[in-house]
Amino acid sequence: MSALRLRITMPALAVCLGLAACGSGQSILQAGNEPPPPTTAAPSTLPGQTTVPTLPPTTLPRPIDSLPGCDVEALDIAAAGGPVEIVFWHGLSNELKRELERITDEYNSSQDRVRVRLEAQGTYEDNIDKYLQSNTDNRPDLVQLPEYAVQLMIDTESSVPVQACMEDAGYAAAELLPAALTAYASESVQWAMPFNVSNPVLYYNRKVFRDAGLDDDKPPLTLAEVSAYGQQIQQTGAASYGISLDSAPDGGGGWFLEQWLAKEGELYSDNDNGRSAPSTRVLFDGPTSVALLTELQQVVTTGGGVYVGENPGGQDHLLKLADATTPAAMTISTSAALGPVLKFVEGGIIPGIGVEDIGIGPMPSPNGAPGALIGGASLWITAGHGDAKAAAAWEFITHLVSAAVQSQWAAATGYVPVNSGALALDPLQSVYADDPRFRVAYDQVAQAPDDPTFAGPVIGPLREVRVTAAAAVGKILSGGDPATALADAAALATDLIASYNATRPSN
Amino acid sequence: MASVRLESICKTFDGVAAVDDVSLEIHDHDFMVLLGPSGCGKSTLLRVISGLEEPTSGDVFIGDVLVTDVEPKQRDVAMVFQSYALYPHKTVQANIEFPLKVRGIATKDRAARAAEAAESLGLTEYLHRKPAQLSGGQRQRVALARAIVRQPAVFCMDEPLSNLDAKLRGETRAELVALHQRLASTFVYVTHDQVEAMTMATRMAVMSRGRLEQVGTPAEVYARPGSVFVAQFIGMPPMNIFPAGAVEASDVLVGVRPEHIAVDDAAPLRATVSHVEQLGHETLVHCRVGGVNAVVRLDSDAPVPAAHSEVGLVLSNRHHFDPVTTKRIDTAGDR
Amino acid sequence: MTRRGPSRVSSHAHGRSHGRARRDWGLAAALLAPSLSILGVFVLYPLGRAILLGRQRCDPSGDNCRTNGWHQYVDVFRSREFQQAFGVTFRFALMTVPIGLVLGVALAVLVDKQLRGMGAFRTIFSSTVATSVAVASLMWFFLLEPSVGVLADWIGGTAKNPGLLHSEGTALWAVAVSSIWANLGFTFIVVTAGLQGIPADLYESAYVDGASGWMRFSNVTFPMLGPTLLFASVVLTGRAFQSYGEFDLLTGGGPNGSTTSLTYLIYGNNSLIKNDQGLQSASAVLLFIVLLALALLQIRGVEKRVHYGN
Repeated sequence: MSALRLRITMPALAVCLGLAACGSGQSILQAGNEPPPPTTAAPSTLPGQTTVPTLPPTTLPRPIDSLPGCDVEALDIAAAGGPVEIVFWHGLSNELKRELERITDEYNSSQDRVRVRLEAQGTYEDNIDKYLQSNTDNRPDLVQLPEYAVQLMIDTESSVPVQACMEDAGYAAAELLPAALTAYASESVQWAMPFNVSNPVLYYNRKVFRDAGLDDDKPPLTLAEVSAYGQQIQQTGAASYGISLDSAPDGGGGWFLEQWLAKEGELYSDNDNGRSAPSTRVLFDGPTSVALLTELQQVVTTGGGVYVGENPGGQDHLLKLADATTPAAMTISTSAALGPVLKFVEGGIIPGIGVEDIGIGPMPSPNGAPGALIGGASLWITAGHGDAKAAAAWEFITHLVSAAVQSQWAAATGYVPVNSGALALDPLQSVYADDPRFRVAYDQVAQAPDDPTFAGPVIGPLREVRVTAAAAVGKILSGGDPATALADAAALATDLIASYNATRPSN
Repeated sequence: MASVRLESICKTFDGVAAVDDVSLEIHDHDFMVLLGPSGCGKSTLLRVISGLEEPTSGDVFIGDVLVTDVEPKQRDVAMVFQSYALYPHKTVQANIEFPLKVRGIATKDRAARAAEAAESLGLTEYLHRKPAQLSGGQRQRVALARAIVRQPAVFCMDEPLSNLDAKLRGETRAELVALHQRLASTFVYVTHDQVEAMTMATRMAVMSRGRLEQVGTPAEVYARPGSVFVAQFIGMPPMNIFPAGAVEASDVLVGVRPEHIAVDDAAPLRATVSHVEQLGHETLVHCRVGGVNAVVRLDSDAPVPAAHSEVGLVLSNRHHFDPVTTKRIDTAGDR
Repeated sequence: MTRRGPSRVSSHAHGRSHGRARRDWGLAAALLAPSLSILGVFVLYPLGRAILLGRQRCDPSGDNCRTNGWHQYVDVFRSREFQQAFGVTFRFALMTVPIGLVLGVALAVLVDKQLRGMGAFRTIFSSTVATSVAVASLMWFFLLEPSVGVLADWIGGTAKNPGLLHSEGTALWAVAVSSIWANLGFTFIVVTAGLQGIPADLYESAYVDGASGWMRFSNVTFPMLGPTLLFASVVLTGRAFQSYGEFDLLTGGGPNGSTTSLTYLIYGNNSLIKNDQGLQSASAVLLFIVLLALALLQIRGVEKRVHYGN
């Protein structure tokens, strides 16, 4: 027996020792790069920046003529010989998917110019992966992609910018929310059409607010108020915690940091958040960010807040409000969760919380500034499939963002309508009138200033950058030093950008 | 060194009786062979003695101790299995030592006793081999060594020779008899092979359908079979059984062993020869007598009757059996 | 065949066998072609491509690549992230394989009796085989969810705040528990089959010799299960090194990278190299080499000690 154990453990030990001895301490992002030049190197490189040569910024603006064009009349000619079929990949599931199917079926049967075939690809991530790995012929004619994929998509050089179609068709975008459009524009080109828009809002338990002696019609707007409310909630024993915070990349860790920096009027990355030219480094390690996260840390340490972790399932922060023994009274989550949350509460599985107990307020920030960045997804037209297909995709896009369809879509899903005309139409008009909670996210978009800081960052590896930022936020919320955590994350993020830019197509 | 006494043992499996009310006295130093066709309950009876099966009813005594509800560990019995049940991952030495190891005997003593047991069975040079590296006969001896190393009161053996070839079986029979004499111990040995029973047993118990048919020395059982079953099971070829009135004017069954029939053309009992088997050392004559088939065994030097010829037969050593119970009927002068 | 002298016969036979060999080769090639082509198209070609891709750094769509050479493999292997993920994976295997084997054997031995009702237990114990990793992980996720999870309330302490899956100290253990549970059915079935292959008379012999239950287990059951346990440990180790669903669904590689296994580093949504196919390929090839080495070690190291019966 002992000999047997020895025989297994000896090689195991050898492997372990070998590993410890051969680690380089370098990041995997440096793998394959030439070793850094001798110490006589120029001092211009920033700490943590790689030696991969970065490309010079492209000229601004990018000439629209240099991009694939759009000929909307091609559809008129092609449709004379029967409807043009287009394939549309999306990343929606459950009720959202069913509503999209309903809208598409209605569209297909309402006219005989365009036939849209929906193909659900699973999640946004699956959709991005599959799109990136396919060649032009296998790509769909129209694809729905999330806000963090903008630069990634631009760099595939595989799409017809919707601006080309807008110009060719003389499309009046007056009713579309400017902030939603700006989110998908960079280098002065409108690349994609916003379709489903969401942003973070404050969810709070009205009953706990009342029990704590707080006005349940006045949710906190600043982080200082969040702390004060939290303390009062704890002191009165109305609930165990004030706000529950998470550090998910697409939640409290990554996405919210982008939101908060925008609300503070700060850029997230250089070159105007990558909107005037591709970003080369992130800026979220500056004094404003450090102060912001120090304050957020204090919300947890002294403001009655609770940190629920990296939230891999995207539900932990919300479920904390339903905790039977140690609940929290508030959390910040995407507005897209409002419908599902209400449906969940309606089922009556959470004792003591009814549908009317859920309050919604604007996303609190350090200074309480209104407005929010655009989240959600947009529609991209694939180039190289012929003018007729592109024109058909464009025609379907105009249908999807029309006031009537956006009214139905927003009412059914809880997304923010991208067309302001939708507010005057039923069913959305009555939904907003009956339940103002659904309107909070719309008002945040409508209040957002038209400013590069409020357009949010476009960065090729934004998804990975978010993960590093989220890790830093997680460290800070569990007690780490904000300045150090942010500096480390910023260095890694800048490495990611450099490594991405090193393989960008020459442009 | 003990006697074994079984009192009214019954053992049923799912309502089917494997052993049906068997009482048997096995004396100290007996080489008791339990003999019977497969399915007769002899192995079950052995397992009841060793403690592997608990009887449904009845009692088992070893020596004078009631052991019916006693674990095998406390019964002081050793068992040799048909498959030998050697531990394939252990060496011969470790296999032989195992029962001692189980009893917590010191390593040194174990080795000495294993060496002794191995020596007595000629296994010394194989002590460090694994069972897979041994021949069938060697494995069988390892199983024996493992049994004797414990010096148990009773040895139980379940058809230990049936996996050996005929030649080896003959040799091993003699070795077992010698072993029994040397150990002066009690052996309980199960077999379906009457040759093993006849050659090794000091006493034998013939079983059929879960019941005991007859107990006695091999000579007794051969000479005075207690029933038609025993009469036909012991002896090769089996005893001829003639129905009432076929060979004599009586209302009982008449049994005559083939070797106790002589051919005499003048004899009044007439038979027609069907065919003749010449086996070298003997000749078997198959014929019809009084409407039944019969076998006559002749010495190899006797004249061989032609097939389809008519011959006269002389019967001696007749046995009589009750036609209803098939039990033996003792009459004067049939010995 | 008529005998015409030894030399002629042998030369004749020789010539014939040559012709037959050539025919056999042709036939063999024809018969092997389907499986070879499938192996080539679906295994060898992708493997070769992955090995070549591991020397490159590409843009996310894989159109624009820069070839760095073989030293990229060395760099990847020595990098912080790979080393950390390797450590996580190795510890995960050290947690799941021995515990999984012990529990699997224990359950199998427990129900390896001809008693009424054992069939029901056998069905229950093997049921995790029919449970997908996704279902098992989600089940554990909600059991351990600190706010509404039954187990979290029950255990209390760290399980409640921040939660077993959210604490760097416990997350890997929590994932391991889920994985052990999900794999228990497989181990149970394999060991049960192994137990049924052990001749009953070995137990009876030991029983008559007076061996206790434990002695029968350690002297008969355990050694006789040798090949089964070797097989199960090789499979379980392979599975541990290739586990992905558990990490993806339970922790997303967190907290703070403490459950970023090699597979998660290669494939996970929150991985730093999510869109870098070159680094992903290099890591995957390295994982393949590690697994190969590990399986060889296991088989070489243990096989000599294992008895395969006769």
